[in-house]
Amino acid sequence: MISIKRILLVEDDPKDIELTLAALAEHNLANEVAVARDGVEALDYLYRQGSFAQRPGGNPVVVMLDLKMPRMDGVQVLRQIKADEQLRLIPVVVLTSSRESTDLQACYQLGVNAYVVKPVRFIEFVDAVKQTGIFWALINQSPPDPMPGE
Amino acid sequence: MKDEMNSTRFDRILVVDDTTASLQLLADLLIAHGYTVNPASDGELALEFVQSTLPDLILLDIQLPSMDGYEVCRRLKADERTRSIPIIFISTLEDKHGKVKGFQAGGVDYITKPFQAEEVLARVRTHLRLQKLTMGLEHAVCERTEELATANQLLSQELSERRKAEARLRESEEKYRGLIQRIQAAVVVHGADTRILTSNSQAQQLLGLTDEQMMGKSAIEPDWHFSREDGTAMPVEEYPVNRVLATGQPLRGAVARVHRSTAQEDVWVLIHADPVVDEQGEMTQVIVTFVDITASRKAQADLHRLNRQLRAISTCNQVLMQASEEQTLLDEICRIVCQEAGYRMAWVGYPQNDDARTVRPVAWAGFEEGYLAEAGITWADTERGRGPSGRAIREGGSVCIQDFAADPHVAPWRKSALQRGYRSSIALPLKAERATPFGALCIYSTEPQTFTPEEMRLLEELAGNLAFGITTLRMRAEHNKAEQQVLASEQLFRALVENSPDFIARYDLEFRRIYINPAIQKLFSGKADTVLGKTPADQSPLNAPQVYMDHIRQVIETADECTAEIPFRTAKGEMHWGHMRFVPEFGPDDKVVSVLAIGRDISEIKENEQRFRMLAENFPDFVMRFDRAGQYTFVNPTVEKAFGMPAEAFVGKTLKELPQHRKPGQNDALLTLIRQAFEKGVANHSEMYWDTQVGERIFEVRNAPEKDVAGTVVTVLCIARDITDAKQMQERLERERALLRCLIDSASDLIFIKDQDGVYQACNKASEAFIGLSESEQIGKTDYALFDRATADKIRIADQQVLDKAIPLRVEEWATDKDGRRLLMDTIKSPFYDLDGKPLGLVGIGRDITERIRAQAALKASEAKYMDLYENAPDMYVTVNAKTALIEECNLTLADTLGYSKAEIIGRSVFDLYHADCLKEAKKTFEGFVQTGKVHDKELQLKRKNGSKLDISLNVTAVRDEDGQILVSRSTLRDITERMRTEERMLRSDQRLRLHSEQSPLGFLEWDDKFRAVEWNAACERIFGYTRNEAIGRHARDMILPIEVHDMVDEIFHSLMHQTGGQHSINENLTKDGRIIICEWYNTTLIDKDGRSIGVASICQDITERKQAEDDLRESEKRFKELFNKAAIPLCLINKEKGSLVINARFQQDFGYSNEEIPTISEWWQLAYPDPDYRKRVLNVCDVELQRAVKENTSLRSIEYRVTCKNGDTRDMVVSGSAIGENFLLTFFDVTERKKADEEIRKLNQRLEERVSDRTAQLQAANKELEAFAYSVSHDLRAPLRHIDGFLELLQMRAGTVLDQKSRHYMNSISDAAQKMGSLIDDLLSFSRMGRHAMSFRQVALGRLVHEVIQEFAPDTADRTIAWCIGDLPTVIGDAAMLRIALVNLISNALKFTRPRQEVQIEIGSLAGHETEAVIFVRDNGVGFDMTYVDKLFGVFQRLHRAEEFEGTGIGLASVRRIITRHDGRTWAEGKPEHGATFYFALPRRKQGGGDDKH
Repeated sequence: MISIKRILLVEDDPKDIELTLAALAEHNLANEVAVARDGVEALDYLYRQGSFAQRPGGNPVVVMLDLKMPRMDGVQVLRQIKADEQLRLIPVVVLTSSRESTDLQACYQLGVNAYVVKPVRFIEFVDAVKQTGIFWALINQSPPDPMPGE
Repeated sequence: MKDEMNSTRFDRILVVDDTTASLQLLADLLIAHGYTVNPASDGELALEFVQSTLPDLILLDIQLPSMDGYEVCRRLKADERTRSIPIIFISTLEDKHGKVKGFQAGGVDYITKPFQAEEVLARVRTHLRLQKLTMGLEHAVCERTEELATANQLLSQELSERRKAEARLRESEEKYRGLIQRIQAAVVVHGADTRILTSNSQAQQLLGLTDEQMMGKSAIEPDWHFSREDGTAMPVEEYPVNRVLATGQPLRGAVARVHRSTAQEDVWVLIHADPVVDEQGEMTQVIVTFVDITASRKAQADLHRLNRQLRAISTCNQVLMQASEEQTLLDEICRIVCQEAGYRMAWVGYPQNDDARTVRPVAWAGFEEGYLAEAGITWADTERGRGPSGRAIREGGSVCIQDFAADPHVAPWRKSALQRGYRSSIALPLKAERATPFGALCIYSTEPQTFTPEEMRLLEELAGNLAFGITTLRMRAEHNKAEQQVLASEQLFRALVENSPDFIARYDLEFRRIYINPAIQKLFSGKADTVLGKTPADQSPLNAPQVYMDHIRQVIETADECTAEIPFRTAKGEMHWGHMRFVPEFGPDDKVVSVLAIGRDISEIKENEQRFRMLAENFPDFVMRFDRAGQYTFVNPTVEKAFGMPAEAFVGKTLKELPQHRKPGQNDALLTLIRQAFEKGVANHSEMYWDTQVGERIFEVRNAPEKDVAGTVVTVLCIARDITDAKQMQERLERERALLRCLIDSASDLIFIKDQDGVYQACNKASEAFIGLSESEQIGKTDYALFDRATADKIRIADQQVLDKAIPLRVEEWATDKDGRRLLMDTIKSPFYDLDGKPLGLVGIGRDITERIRAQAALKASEAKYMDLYENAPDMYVTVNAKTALIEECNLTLADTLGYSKAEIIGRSVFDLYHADCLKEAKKTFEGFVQTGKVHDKELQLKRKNGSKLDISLNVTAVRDEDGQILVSRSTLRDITERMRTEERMLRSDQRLRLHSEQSPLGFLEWDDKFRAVEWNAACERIFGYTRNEAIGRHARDMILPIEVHDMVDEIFHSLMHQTGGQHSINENLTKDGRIIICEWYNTTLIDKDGRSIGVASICQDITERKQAEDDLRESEKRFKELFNKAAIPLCLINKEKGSLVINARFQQDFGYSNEEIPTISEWWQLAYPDPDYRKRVLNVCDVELQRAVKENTSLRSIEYRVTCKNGDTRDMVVSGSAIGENFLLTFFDVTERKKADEEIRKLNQRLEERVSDRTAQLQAANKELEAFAYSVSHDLRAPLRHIDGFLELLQMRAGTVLDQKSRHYMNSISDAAQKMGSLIDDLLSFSRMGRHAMSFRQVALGRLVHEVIQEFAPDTADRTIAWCIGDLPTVIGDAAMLRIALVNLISNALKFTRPRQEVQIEIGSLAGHETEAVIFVRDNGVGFDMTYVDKLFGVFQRLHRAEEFEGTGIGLASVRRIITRHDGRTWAEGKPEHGATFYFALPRRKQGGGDDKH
């Protein structure tokens, strides 16, 4: 059974947001994307607090997470997600420019589900985002929602 | 005793007689004759009297009231005290029975009443004398026995005392032996011969030797030896023990290094050494104490060195700047490296291009000591070329030897280097950039592992600077030299020509003079300008210019030189001869352009030749001249005459063709001599035999070389003189002289010749033997040199008499021969004269007549002695005519004994002397004598003049004439009256003594008056090894007296013979088997009845072992007491019970307290730890420790205390204690200095650590910053690129169709640029990561890694034909991930640049033969590169190809280099355009875990 759910894109750079959305749009996934502009917002979204207090319940199918962000960076967000009993099972894909092994190591240690380096070439970028989006949003069977009924 | 024996005044006689008248009569008689008389009227009174007073004799009447004389006598004989008193019975009874009964009762004589007064007196006197003799003898025996007993007792007492002393000594020795072992420092005790007597365990540990290895060894045995502080070998005389032995002064705080054969590292020691002196002031021992100071030494040394190196390099640079001459520069650099940087030795060697490829040392400094001369270093690839310098020159890299003792490359030099204190070295190649080395700078250090990488870098820099300096200097020098050579040769030529005495002129082809030198100018009166340009025909001093010109023409035509003798005139107009040489000079086209005429004035030579001929022709001797070819060029008429040939027959012939002697040897010899004269240019002499017309003659030949002006030998003149007759005369003379000499030499008399002044001119063999000098040594000396002054004076006077009076003289002279004997010489001296009758000297013939004179004197002395002996002998002698029985001679003893004068006896019949009772017997004896010629121990009686009888023993020998007829009898008569009576008693006493002596453990022996053994008991046999039979009769000197006292034997014995009482001595004696033993002696003089010494009785005991043991023990105790007192560290003994202290000298010296100030431990505590709190802590620790040690009976643990000295200083002391019997021995070990040094090092370390951590912090901060930068680069730079590309793409998608082709191209270009920028950033980041990446070293199998990488490239290369050739690759220690990146880069490069090739060959392998590093290469047959740009290859962003040809960012090889550099490795490449490239990287071979990242 295919049920399309929401993708949470955590990204501070508006141009990247635009490009990511453009890439996802090619596969009609753009509409499913919620955008958080930094880590704080991302957590607000997930916890349905702050500006996202009014959002409907349920967890996104996948979180696409940039690492380098103002206020709270991606690694902190990832740590919080994976530490929370309620959010732990949400697949998190890190989508970043950094190839630094320290970043890779930190993310995998925190239990990231995938780590994608944003290629410079747009076509490749599109491909990467697309693949990620399709896989996590369409192919992958999401874990059961911890809060049934919501 | 002696006095009593010789006197009769006090003889006491007891007269017992009951008849008053008779008693009175006897008493009166005896008193009148000087006796003391005690009368007694009956037996009881007599017995009572003897109880109080012992009479010497008793006259006893037989018939007495109540108790008769027999009974009295029996009772007296029964009593021990009185039994020996002689008793003479007096009785009227005249029956035989009474007499017999009297003798049976014990009487000695019997007098019948009425008695004759004389008889009574005679008998009394006889018996008293007899009695006294007996008593005296017995007394002597008793006394001797008593003395022996006393001696025995004394000996045993002393024996027991000595045993006690021995025990005490042994105890004491044990105690002190313990002490040395417990001293907490290394102590070695040497004897005066430097041999080690004792060492403690600390010393053994320090020196790495066992007790057995050290005991008895001398200080210089090879198990360990000292070096000086600077590492040079310490000469034996500087060893502490030898220094103390030499100076007698203690040695304080010397620093030395101990090298042990068992260990690599030297130990630095602080040495104290103290002499131990015995009571006589003799140095008996040396106590050496060592303290190990290696640790503090090393720390000090490290600091020192660092400082000095920096200073040195700065100085070197100054010198380099100022250098102007290569040798000075090299010398200076070597000197600075040694003096300023503190290296042991430095030298610079240049490689030679000889066969052996030697390295020639050109400069050196420091401690070289002939090392380089014996090193024999080469730069060939041989054993002697694989040392550091050889390799540095051959391979062009620095070579470092970290330890000469261990490195196998330096085996040929190891011994030599270590001897000079070189432990490590570095050889730095001297080379201009990229050139082969032209030399090496070698530096040696005294310590192993000296050259750290930092130090090597500094030194390499120095070597580089030096090489540059030398290259510059050489270039400058070459230039200067070339200039100077040109200048010099020109000057030389000019000087030669201008100053030549020869005439030099140059002519052109028209015979015109174009140059004349000053010598010629003189001929033309110095007017050169008028001469030049003219031909010889125009103006010339020549006699025949045409001939001269003909010669020049000939030279021009033939182009060959020629010579001629040409006459010319001098400026003064004199005719001279010139020897001219014409030499062609050639132009560049080898044609003759001018002619050089060189002439020499030979007029003088010509004249001399003339003169020589004149002389030689009229010479009586042979004159011959030979040229260099050995041909005769001249012989004079004498030769012609002698050989019967005209001179022409000789000239032009060689000696071989015209031999002068049929024996070829003679001829050849002359030839050789002539040749020698030619070669050496000096004259020689010889004697030769030649065959002349008058037969074989002997010639004295002189060969003299004749030289020309230049000094070259032109001919040899041989002048010979006939010396045949003279020779024969001389030979005859020689023969005669030899004969005479032989005669003189074989004479047994001394024959010598002196001149007028007494100087010896000759002497014969006998004289040589007498003086002890050979003839040649005697000749030229006078008697003053040969004899003492007095003798020489006498001889000289006699000599002078002979010379003055000119007559022979016979003299007796005393002289001392070579053995120092005084000899009387009977010498006849005769003068001899020259032809004018003037005395020249004298001839002496001497004979040794000492013995003859001496014998005569001895004979006379002996005669007198014998006469005296004869007359006064104890025996009676008489000589009787065998035919007439008349007395011919007798001695005084005989006459005196019989009461005659000698005159009364001589001439009488011998039978008149005999008593009538034995006359018959005597006649029979005489007849028997006439028959047999001797009589032996015949007992007869003589008759005195007064008619009394005398018992004698007769011995007779015969004196015979030549026919064996007896002429006279020689009779000895001995009075045996007394002997007969005492014989028996003597026998008994003797037996008793013998028994006593044989069983004694002591040696009993007796000497006669000649010091010959007459008694020798079993103990003596044991002690001396001579059996009784061997010993008896032998002189003490020949048995037991050591050779050293032989000279004094007579003296010794004399004192023994004339001592009184016993004498005790301890002497060295000799045993039969030659051992020297020590004996204790008790000697007693033996005295005969007349009080004369007749010998010596001795008791002796072998005390050698006891004495030795005692000496050893005493020595040992003394030694160890000294050790305690003189130990070089403070020591004290604490009594466990009382807490009392005994301290040694060093204790007092170091702490300042005397033993009186600190009698017990509590005073010590009070003074040593004045701070109450500290004292309390010390007390607690000490008390607990002392109690524990006493309880557990163990040693005290070593604890460190801070002790306050009397002068207020505090010192840190480690105190240890060991239990020794009742005491603890405390050892104080001063660690103050060590602590200070430790503290300083600790502080230094801390400072260093602080600096390191500061630096680390800075680095970390910088790193962080970098990382942050990289991070932002990675993130922030990439994002805009992505955006450019992304939006461009979007734009393309949107507007792609409406844009024209050019616009699309622009857009593509923008996209490509962004893409390119992205790759660049990626590569840059990865490159920077390589610098920061934390390395993790482990074993990496390069072979497997290469295969993996190739595998990865497989997809990209599937369409290409690639021949991979992968060699054996080593396993290295490194970071696997990094190495992988390096290989990926290299392999991808290889793949990239071979793309144009159809057949691709890629070879990956490793180079063999590198010990210190693994060298890997990747080789391809690709497009290659130009070596000019090889330096750019590994730089960041450096590319050698255009981007269109081969893609890439130019970071790959930079990454490779960075990775390899981080492995401490190196990278390089070789290539050629279109011929492929090879990339190398070398990784140091390191041990796993040994190379953690330092960056």
